[in-house]
Amino acid sequence: MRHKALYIAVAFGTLLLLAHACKKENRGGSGGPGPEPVTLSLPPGFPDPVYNFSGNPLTRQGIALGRFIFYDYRLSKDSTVSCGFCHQQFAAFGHFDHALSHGVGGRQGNRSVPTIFNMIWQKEFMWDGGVNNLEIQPLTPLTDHREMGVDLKELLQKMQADPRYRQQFKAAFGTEEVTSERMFKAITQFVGTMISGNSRYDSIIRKVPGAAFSPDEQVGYTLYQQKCAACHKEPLFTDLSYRSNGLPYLAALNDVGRMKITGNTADYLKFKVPSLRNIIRSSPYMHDGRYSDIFQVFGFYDHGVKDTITTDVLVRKGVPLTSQQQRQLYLFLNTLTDYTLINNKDLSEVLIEP
Amino acid sequence: MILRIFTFYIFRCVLICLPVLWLCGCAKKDKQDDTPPAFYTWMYLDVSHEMNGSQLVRNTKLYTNPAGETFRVSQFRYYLSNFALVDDAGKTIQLASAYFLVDDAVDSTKHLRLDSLPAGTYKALRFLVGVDSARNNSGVQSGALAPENGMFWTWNSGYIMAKLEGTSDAVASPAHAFQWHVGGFKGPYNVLKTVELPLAFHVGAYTAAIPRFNVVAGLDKWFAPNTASFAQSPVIMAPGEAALNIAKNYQQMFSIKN
Repeated sequence: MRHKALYIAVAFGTLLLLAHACKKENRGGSGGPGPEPVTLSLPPGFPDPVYNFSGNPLTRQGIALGRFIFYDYRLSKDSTVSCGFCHQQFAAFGHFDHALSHGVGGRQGNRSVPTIFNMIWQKEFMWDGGVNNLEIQPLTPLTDHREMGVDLKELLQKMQADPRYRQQFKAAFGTEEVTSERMFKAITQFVGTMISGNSRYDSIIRKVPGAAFSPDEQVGYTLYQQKCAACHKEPLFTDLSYRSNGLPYLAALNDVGRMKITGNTADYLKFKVPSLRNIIRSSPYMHDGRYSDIFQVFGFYDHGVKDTITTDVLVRKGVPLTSQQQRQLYLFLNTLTDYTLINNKDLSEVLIEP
Repeated sequence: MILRIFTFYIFRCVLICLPVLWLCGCAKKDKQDDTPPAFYTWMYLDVSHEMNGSQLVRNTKLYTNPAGETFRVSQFRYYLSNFALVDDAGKTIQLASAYFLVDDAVDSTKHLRLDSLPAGTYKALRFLVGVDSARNNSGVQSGALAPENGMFWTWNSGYIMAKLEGTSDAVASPAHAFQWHVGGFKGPYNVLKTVELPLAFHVGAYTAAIPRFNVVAGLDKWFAPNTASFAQSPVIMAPGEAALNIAKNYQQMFSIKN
């Protein structure tokens, strides 16, 4: 009986130990709540995403950090250009009214700014598919002297010195350490949330009550299916292949397209088929932005296609479109504008004090 | 009343056993591998760079290549990875996965520690010059493979496996600069080269001595047998024939001197 108290204590202690022993360790380190997981809602009918989030779990803090980076003009060489400078939300994250991309010091690139949405369904990036993973895509615009023009090492030091970044890196990844891996993963998280699959067209396809094409739009949809859908395939409105649509080569830009990446002459003048989603909001058109109006594009397909050795067989003879058909096609393409993408408050610019 | 049970002998035994059971329960379950070797150690490689048999001197020393072009070296860097040993039975033993970026300008990068070395008798060391294709494809990497190390192409994803930069009067451009960035992990222009160096050593169980070898990389090997000329290709910055020729040359640049 003398040891009763001792036995009770041991028994109780053992119970406590058992309760805590096998509990999963809380990753976060600082005792505070860790980053909050976020589940992406994917549009119905879309294929499985290509990008694998298992190595980069989506969190509220990670997305917030990515958004801050995306809109931080201070990351460029002379603090004038952010990602959002060229990728404007109202233009479906393309660059409205700019044929060619431009960057620090008024320098100009030789291609049009691509729109950013539905990136997690893409296997390769850039007009020529030269970049093979969504995470490393931002490397080019950040470091290219014609875009943001920074040295990555210096940039990381600059970010590490900023208390706002230290705090946000801690919130997203557990410690204040700014690394390129974390930075690119955060940008990827934010860009991954730019999903476009909720246009009027989508409502009609999903048979939402009250959603319907007008007679002209309906004809336009049929025209699209007959004349465009082979390359601009539903539901992404691109098959993500590389093709030459017979756009005449411009010596001034000397852009050979995918051939530069593969070294294969069969890829001469081939570029990635762009999505038609939000197309009416994201002029200018073509890889070099040479057409500022969609009707110029229709005209090109009707009578401007140049038949070269690599011109795609589907458009080699042109795509005939009467002016009435062009109008109907235009009306259909309008139904692909996704206001939940271009008006989404979660994707809008954050104002950053210098 | 209930507290009476604490006097029972059996209950005391149970109490004593509980923590023991808990310790057993939470112990990490070892994977049932086929009889793992009982002893692991590690080894060191000390890398040094030479030109025609004497220590490489960057920036100041003037060298001449077999094509008769004079040149100075400003930067010499390359990746080594996928280290393995070949034992006396001819079996390949993969060492712990590690990627090293050797930089002539940074002495600390020239001392490589290779882990997970099992007891055995070895006759050769094998490694890859460069970064295997898997790591060229799987998104952002860290450490020696981090993009800010300047060994990753931004316009056409992939690692620069080896880099030689400097100046040569044979180059016509105003700065006379040459930049040889050797990369490419796909198709006919895959520059990934495996090197196998003979070396003999034995690791007995619980040996205290850590094996240590001197690996010499001779930069003169970059220029032959395939002709590599600064005048012909002052700038190599893409996968292709020129890069592949150099990779075939530098595959022969390593030797062990102990």
